[in-house]
Amino acid sequence: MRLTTALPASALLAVSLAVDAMALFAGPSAGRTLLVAVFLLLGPGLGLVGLLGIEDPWQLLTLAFGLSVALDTLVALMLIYVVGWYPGAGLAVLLAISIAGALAQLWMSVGRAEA
Amino acid sequence: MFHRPHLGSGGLGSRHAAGPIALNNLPTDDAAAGAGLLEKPSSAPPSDPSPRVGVLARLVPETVFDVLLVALAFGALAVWFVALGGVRIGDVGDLGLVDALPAGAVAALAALAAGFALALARNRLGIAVLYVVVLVLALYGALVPIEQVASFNVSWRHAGIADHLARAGGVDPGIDAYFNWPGFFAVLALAADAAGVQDPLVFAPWASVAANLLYLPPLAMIAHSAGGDARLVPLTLWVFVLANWVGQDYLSPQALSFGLFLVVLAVVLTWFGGPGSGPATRPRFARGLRLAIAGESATPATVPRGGRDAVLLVALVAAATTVPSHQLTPFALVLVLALLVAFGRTWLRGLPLLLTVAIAAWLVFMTISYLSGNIEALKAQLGALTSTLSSSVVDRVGGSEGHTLVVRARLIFTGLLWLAALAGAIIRLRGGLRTWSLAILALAPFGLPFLQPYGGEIVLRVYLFALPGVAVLVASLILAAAGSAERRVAAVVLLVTVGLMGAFLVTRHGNDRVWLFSRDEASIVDRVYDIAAPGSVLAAPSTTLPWQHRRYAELEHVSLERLQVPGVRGSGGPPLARAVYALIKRQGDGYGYVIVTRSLLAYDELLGSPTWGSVPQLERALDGSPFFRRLISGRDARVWVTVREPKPEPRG
Repeated sequence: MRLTTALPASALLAVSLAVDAMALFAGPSAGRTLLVAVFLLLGPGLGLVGLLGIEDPWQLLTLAFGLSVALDTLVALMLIYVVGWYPGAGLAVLLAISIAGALAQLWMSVGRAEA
Repeated sequence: MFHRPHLGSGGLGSRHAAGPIALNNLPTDDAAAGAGLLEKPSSAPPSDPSPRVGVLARLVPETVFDVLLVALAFGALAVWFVALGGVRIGDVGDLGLVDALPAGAVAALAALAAGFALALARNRLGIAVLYVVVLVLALYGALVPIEQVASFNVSWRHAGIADHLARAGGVDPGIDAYFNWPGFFAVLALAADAAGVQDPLVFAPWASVAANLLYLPPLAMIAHSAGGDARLVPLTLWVFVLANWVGQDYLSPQALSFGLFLVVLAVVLTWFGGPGSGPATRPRFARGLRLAIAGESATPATVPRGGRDAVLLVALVAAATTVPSHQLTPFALVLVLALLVAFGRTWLRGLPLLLTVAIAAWLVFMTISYLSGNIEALKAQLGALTSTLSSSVVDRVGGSEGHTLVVRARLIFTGLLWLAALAGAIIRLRGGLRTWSLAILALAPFGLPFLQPYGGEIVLRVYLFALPGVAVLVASLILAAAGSAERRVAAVVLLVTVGLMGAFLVTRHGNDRVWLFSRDEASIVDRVYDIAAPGSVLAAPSTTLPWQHRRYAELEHVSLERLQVPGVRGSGGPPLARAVYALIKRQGDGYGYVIVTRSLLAYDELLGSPTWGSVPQLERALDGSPFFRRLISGRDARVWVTVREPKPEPRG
């Protein structure tokens, strides 16, 4: 397993699952607010950009931020213009992207290590 | 965190903590030329721009030195917040935070300045970046320990718009302009729901910190794309953080959109900047897209391992996301991109065109009802360059002596920074370094006033959009002045930092007295929202109070700033109360509430009174008027309500 890929992917997976769990079971708190903010600003983008194998942290963060905000905005606008305001569904879509991306990155890092 | 450099940068930066961002992806010639021309270390290897080892370096082992530097950064941060925790809102005066800054906070800033200067002088670039992060936390989170509730009235308004979107479950474009560019507010409403809170204001206190931290990665890429000295990256970030005084990074569409603006430029300048040799292979799925945007003759300089097509897609969606989110940012982006294309600084010829089409499509299909209903006001603004510039700069000079000083400090600082950027550009040009892309970044936003008057705020926006390019150029000037000797670098960077820090505290935090709200005034305003019937009118002498965060479209919010009271100039009295009553009645049939808070009084004192008189005069007029009765009296706020059937006014 390559640590440079596995560590960010594991962190992303942990944050995504924590946001998911808090959305389901927890009440509002400062920790939840912080976690949601970090997730929405970096999570969905990191799930996809992490698959590119970019190692430079500046580049990775730049692309993750840009793509996350774009995906957040796309999902939120779809909700208010097309689907109807179901914010839980919007969050679920963004979480699905992040978790799927993180799992794919972990799988790829295992594959690279075995190769 | 950092990795070994590659792609021909050889030994450049290999000893630097910030290895790849310092020099990866740079063509070998540029990297070598850059390091040599800016620093001119005649015989030393470019990786070590500090050939003369200072006293500190001889006395303190490197590892111990690093640990001490890191400890100093965190220690200074802790001292800063502990010291500011003792500041009360009432301590903040006409000069803003400077009036209330405790000695501990000053010492913390001095420690940060010294630590950064040492880190840069000894090429601890990773630690220098850590200092930038700590500086962002300190300077942009400075109000958090002082705040009793979220500061800055516009954050409250933006929270109210997001709240309305969530409650209405859709967009009514007729309400106001915000609802025609709802991208940010929809995301904010989504975030509030995900955080399990009713009020999106929970995100406001740390919004500036978050925004400025997120600006750092794309800024680092932009600085890196300029080539040259590896120290340019942390120094650019440092200059940017200390020069971003315009305060557009609060909980707002422009804060997030500016981040996207930086992302697009970072991608363009890093992977699509200038001519080079084309990639050996192109994936078929992306060929059509790239041909449409870049043309067949596209010749990128370097190819990221992850694939240029995916990176291009990110730039595209980031650029497109600015369109439904903010009125101004896409125009700024089009301007910069078009000039980069025109001057051959990027081969993405189709990108500005695509963005222009996206802007036009959004205006035509999504905002047409709003625009057609407000066409006269927009036409009056469009092209009114003189009034735009005068309302941005000249009208703001006035008010109290302290505020006048703040405004003048902003004007002088802005002028000096732009002059420093010009000098930096000249030095880079003479050194044969990449300069034109940076010059375009710094100059293109000056075209914005011709495209978008944007109220009286356009000059502030020009400053912000130009700042990335300006910051790199100023950092280049500082490096050129500092040279490579350790002690000289430390001295120059320390000197410049002290100047920038002092200027930042005055220019950025100069209006804090107005933007800070007490718990008392916020709770009294909240009580009005609890009792006001739908259709009621909420009026205040200006908009600088904690309101509009609830029932945004259900209640009318009216500022008395532009109230015309015939025959009355600063005398208040019955005519003023009558004029306020008439204005409220013109807005609706419901009750009217006039709110006066501590922050509104502060605004009055700082910026000067409106033509109709001062806030205390208004209070006296309302108290003596049969049209109003006092409803709530608190320590920091008072509320009057209109009387349904007022008694006749006493004669005389």
